[in-house]
Amino acid sequence: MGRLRTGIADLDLILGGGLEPGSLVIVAGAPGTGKTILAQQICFANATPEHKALYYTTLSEPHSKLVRHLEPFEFFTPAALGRSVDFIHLGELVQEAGNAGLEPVVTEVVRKCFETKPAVVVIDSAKALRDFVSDHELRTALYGLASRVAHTDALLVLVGEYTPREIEGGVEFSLADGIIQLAYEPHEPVDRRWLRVVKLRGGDHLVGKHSFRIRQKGFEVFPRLETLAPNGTVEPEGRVASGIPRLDELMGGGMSAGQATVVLGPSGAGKTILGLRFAVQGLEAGERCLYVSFQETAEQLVRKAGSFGWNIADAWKSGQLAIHYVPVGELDLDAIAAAVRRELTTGSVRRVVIDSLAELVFAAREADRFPAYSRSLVGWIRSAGASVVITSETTTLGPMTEPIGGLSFLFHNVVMLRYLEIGSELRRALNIIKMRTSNHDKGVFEYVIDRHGLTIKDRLEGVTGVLGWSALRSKS
Amino acid sequence: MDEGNGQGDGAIPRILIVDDEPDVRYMMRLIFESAGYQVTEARHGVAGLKSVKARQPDLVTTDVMMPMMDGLEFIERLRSDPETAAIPILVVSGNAQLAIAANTRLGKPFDPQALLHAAALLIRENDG
Repeated sequence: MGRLRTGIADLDLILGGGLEPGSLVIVAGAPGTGKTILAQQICFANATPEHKALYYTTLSEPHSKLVRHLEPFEFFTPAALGRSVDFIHLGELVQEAGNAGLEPVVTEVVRKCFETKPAVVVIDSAKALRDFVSDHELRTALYGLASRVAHTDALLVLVGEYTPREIEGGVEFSLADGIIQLAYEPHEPVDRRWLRVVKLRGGDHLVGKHSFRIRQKGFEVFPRLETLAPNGTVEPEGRVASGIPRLDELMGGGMSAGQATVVLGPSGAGKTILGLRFAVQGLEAGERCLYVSFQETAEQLVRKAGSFGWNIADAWKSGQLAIHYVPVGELDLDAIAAAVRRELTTGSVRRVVIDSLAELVFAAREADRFPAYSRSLVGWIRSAGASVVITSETTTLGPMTEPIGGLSFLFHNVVMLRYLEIGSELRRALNIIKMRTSNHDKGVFEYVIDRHGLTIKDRLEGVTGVLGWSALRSKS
Repeated sequence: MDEGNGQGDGAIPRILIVDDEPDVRYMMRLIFESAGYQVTEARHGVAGLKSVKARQPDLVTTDVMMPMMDGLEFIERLRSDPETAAIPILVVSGNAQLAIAANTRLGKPFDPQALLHAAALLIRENDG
C-alpha cells in the first residue's frame, strides 16, 4: 500500500512521500502553531465517503467553532461534513475514565474504525487524555488503540500541545511511528513558523526546520533548502555575455556559463543596473530570466529598466522574465528558495539575478546557516544550467570591510564596484577581484552611469590605495 | 423567547436532545426550558434510544456525527420501530442535509428562534 498524501506537496516531499497507512503519527506543538489546521487538511485531503476521516475532539473546542475556523480554508468543503469527514466529541467518554481507564474511549474508536474503515483518524487533543489516567494506563491505552487501528490501515494522528521536553520523554512519543513538531518563533523582522519531522519510521525524511505559513489554501511548507538535492545537473558550456561588452573583455570573454558572480558595491554604485543589464542581455537573446528583488517591485524594476532604454515590460508580461519581489514581511530564506526552485523547474531559466544578498542575510537573521544556504541556492541554480549574478552591499565610506561575512569564496567570480575621490571629485571604479576558472584583467577601471546604463571607461593610471590599502615601495 | 411550546393548555411537551457536545446540549436545554418545555439529554444514539423508550418524548432533536451510534442510525432505528416511528425528529447538525429521514433539519450554529419555531411546529403538527 502506498503512502498517504498530506495534501501539501512540499510536506510530502519532506516526509519522503507521505505518511504510512496504519501508522501512529503525533502532531505536537504549542497553542497557535497550526496543529489542528494541519490535521484537518490531512483529513480533507484523504477522506472519501467509502473511507472517511474521523476527527475526534476531546476537550479542545466546540465543533461549531472548529468548523467556523475551518470555513475560510480552501481545502474545507462543507458538503464533506458527515459524508466523508466526521467530527465526533469524545470529551465525556474521556472525562468518565475511572476504573476502566481509557478503555471505553479505545473501544469506541476501534469499533468505529472497523465499522467504517476510515482513511484517517485524528484525536485532538490527545494530550488531554493525560489528565485522566496515569502514564502506565495511558501507555496501555494508546498501545491498544494504535495496534488495533493499524489493522484497519487507518492513519492515526494524535494532536497535542506537547512541549519539546514532553516530545523527548512522553509515553505517547515512544509508541509513535512519526512525530511532526510545529513551532511559532518570534523572529525579526517577521515571526516565523517552522516544522520538524522528529521521527519517521520506515522512510527517509528531510531533516531540520522547515518554514511554513498558514494561508487561505492551508499549509504552505518550504523545505529547508540545504536538505534538498537538485534534480540532476546540467553543465552548460561557453561564456555568458553580461550586456556590458567592456566588462566581458575584462573577464577574459565573459563569465563562464553556469557560474555564480557576485557584484559587490556600496549603495548607489550601480549594482542593480549591472544586474538588470545582465538580465536584459539574456532577454534580448531569447533566454528566460528570473529576477529576485528585495527593494524594488516588478513595476519599479520595469520603470527603472525603461529609464535606460531597456524594455522589459513585454518580457515580464509574457513570462519570459519572472520578477519575484520579496517584501520585508515575506522574508524567509526557504520561501525565497522555493520560489527560485519553482521557476527553475517550471521553465528553462538561463539567467538569475538576486538583488541583493547582503539584504537577504541581514533581514533573514539566520547568519549561522547562511554559508550552507548560499552554497545550496547557487547549486540549485547551476544544476538547472543557469548563470547567476548576485549583488551585495558593502560599506559606502572608507576602506571596504570584507562583505557578507567572508562569503565571497562561495562565488566563482567577484566584481567590485566602489566610489573614489580624485581631484576633489567623486568618481566610480570597477575591478575584477577573482575569476575561478578564467584569467581576467587585474586593473582598476573607471566607469560612469548614464542614460545608457553602466559604461566602463579607461584604466585608472597613477592611482593607488583604492582598495583601502596598498603595498608601499621600500625607500631602499 | 417569544416562541411558545406548541401546546396551548395541555401537558408540558417533552423534548429529548441527542448530541455528543455538552455545550450544544446545554444551550439547547436553556432555549427549550425558557420556552416551557421539559428537556432530557442523551449524548449519543445508544443513550438516545434508551431515553426514547423510557420517556416517550414529543420531539427528538439529534446531531448526526456522534460516538457509539451516529444520528443517521439513530433515526433509522426510531423509524423502524412502530412504537417510536411517529415521533417527530429535528436534526441539528453541521451537515443536517444528510439526515433525509428527519422531519426538519437545521444547521449548526443554529438560531434560537429558528430552533424554537421548528420544534413548536413539529410538535403541533404531530398532535394535530
